[in-house]
Amino acid sequence: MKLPFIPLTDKEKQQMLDAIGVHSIEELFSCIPADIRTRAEKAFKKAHPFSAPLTEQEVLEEIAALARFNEKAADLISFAGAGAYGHFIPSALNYVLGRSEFVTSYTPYQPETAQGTLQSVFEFQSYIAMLTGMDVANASMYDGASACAEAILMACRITGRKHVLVSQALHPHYREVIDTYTQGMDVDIEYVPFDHKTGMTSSPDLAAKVSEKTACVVAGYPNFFGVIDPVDTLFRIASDKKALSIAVVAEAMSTGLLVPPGKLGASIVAMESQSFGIPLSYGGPYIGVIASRKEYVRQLPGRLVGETVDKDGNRAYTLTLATREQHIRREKATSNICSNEGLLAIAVALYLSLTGKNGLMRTARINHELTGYLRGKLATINGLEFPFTGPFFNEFVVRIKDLDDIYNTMMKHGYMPGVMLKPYYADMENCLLVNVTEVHSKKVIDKFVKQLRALLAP
Amino acid sequence: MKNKPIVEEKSIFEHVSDDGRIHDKIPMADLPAAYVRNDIEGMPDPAEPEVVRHFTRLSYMNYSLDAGMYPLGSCTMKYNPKLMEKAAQYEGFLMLHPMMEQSTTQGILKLIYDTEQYLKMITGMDSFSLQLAAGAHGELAGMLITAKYHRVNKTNKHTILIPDTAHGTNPASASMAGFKVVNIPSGPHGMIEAGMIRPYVNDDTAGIMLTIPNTLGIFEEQIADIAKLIHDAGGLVYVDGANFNALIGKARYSDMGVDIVHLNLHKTFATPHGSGGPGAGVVGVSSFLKEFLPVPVVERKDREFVMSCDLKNTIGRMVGFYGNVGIIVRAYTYMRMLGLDGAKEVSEAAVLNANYIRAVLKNYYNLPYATPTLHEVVFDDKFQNGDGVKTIDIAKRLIDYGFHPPTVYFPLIVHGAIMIEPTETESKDELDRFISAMKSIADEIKHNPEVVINAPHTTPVKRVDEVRAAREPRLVWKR
Repeated sequence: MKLPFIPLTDKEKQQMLDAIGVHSIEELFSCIPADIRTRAEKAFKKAHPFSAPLTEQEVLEEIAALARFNEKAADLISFAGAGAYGHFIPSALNYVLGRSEFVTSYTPYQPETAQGTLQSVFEFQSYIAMLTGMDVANASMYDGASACAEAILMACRITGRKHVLVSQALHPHYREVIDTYTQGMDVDIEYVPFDHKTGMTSSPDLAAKVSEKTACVVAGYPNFFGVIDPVDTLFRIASDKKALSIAVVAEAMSTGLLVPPGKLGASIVAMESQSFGIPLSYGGPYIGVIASRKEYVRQLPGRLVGETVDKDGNRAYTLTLATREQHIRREKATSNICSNEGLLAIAVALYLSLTGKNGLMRTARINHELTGYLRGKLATINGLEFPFTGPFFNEFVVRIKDLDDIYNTMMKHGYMPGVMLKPYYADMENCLLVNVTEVHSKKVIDKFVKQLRALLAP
Repeated sequence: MKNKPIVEEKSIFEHVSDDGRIHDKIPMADLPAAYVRNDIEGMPDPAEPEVVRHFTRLSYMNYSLDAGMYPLGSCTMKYNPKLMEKAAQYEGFLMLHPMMEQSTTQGILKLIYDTEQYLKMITGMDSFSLQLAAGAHGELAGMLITAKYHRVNKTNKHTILIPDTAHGTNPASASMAGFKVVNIPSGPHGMIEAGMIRPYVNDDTAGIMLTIPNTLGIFEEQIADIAKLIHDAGGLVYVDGANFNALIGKARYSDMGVDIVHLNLHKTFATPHGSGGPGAGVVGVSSFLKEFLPVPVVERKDREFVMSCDLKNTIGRMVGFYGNVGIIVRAYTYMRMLGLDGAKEVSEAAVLNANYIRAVLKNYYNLPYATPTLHEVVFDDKFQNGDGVKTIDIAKRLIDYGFHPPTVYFPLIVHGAIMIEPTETESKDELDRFISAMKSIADEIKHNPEVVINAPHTTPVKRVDEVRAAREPRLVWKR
């Protein structure tokens, strides 16, 4: 059988075996104990649905059929956000990003032959620092949730403290990942409730819980309900006890409109940058990033690209501060992270360059204004309530009677009306988290409202 | 010698002034003024053609696998079949919100489920989680599983044994899961020997982390005895399967006494490395550890596929949603294209190619271990040291010959290591071109070492001052 990705011919194989001085390819595997080899060979001989190779055409037909299965979901007009946002992606982005020189290269270990990746990632780091108002940013983390967990570990290392205060209004999946990452560590996670009137993390509760043992205070900006938490107040309470402050940005688009967390007292920012040019793709790959004040740079996890010079004195870029990392520090490293989301960092740099400053600020503004438009329209429907009064960016919570039925009916009419909150907050019966972005035109919003009105107030 | 191919590309932040060329008057939003920003200082506003040219020019400064052989040992830079990219771009995958009703996403759930079935067959393990974002993420999951297993069983064990040949991620992962790491030496043949680790095994031994084949390309021959030793002490056996591309159809981890293994979809299953990611890690376990896997897992209930969080002792969620689904789609495409029958030939050709390079170059570069190797071969710079040339010089000189350098100075047990992994996707012509470059460099070192020591000569920048980068870190653009 001739496989398309293996160029060797039988004749060449024989020449190579001769050069090596063995009789067969089998002989090269004789270092594997015979009983292990025999068992594997036997298992592979058994008929299995995946035994036979397929042609490219057959595989693509099969995969296209699987993709078609999901098409109804892909075609829904969606108001679901909750940490994964549908934003417009400029056409030039994927065109440039698809270049082999970016897609098929490795981590830039040899700087002389990887300046393209290095400069692009350096520009990504610079953009993230500008947007978050921080001094430095790393070359990316797996996603926002894992970046948040690693930021907490970082704060514990910096302060030498173990008590962590996390807002209950932080994305519930992020809170789960924090629990996973800290289960083996000597870290004590405590939750700070949110105010059920405003939807904001409760400052009085935080003040009551924070102490000289607190390593950091962690709050979403905006929080999971789309509400803009008063992080300046929260972070001041933290710094009074010399605790660090971690702002978690699950919707990066908000950085185009809101005062950056760095200006509101954040010591570290953990951000999910999916909104900047990365498709929804059923939850991944996405791209997390950690930004911080420069005094904490040696405790940052992950790769960092730095600017330097070559031996002729010309500007050049390279991976740097590797002494924090696992391949040098081994068990004492700041993290075990190695591969990150390199290509997506380049995508983000491309997105931010293509939209530009004014484009980004305008898009963020449109997100907010369209969200306000929908909220205002919904307010005219009898029986709908808005449980939270706090200011929002592009997401809000609405309470709808008999939400399960309404949700299913709206799905039948071609809408995913949002994300139901009951599975995450037992007391938030009938609450729906609704997200609007620049992809929703006023016309689409009007039709959505009309449909909902017809169901609720026939 | 060619001239520098391109001149310096300015920073994107220098292309236009940070005032931007468009001056939009943006009205105030109905938000508390204290939270509305007026500017993004330093952010440029380039026009589309400027952006496209900037990044296209930058791309010219990268070496890539599509341009030639990329023999980075242990990183497995094999050709990335292009049908994968097409498959991953179907809107039925790209446009799916992760919290979509599962009844509407049966296609992607089936694909994830079937990928798991393939992985089970090929490794022999009983269950998998596909939600890990990279190999090291898989290691962390595996170590968290080990820790939780011992907590649930109240065994009070806190030490993980790790050989000196391990990837640096291994000790870092064990330590993030709360373990104490004990480094154990490998034997004179580049392998771990059961007799040598016996003194390290005691009541505190929670498990061992091995790489098979290891980072010298050597199969751990005594794995069965090692596994028994660890199991008898109540510990678990974790294997880093980053190098599984050497073993397909030849050995299954389940037959070696392994309890937990991770594989890298971006290595064995050919998904692109994307300048450092995204990758995807998968973790396979024996049936008694299934209940510890991260959630959610994809399960089949009658005719329906569901994301289930219903695992009694789960370590919890490792990422916000379900891992790097776009990478899983690509890997599945590759698996279906090869089938199990074709996958076997992947390992055969990979091992043949590596052994060919080893046989032909061993008279030119020192081979520190005579033990037979599989998919990669580690040389060192001992023959060249006399002429004042080090591994790093050889690596940089290879760039002038049109190749990406091999992995260098790893594994740490080999002084001046040069770790070459050709993979199965190189033609004999390309291998011969590489061999001839390596021979030429060996010759240059004898007659004209300066040209090697000053390499590379053909790149956009000359040798980069990495010491200065670390001493005066400049991590973001400043005017």
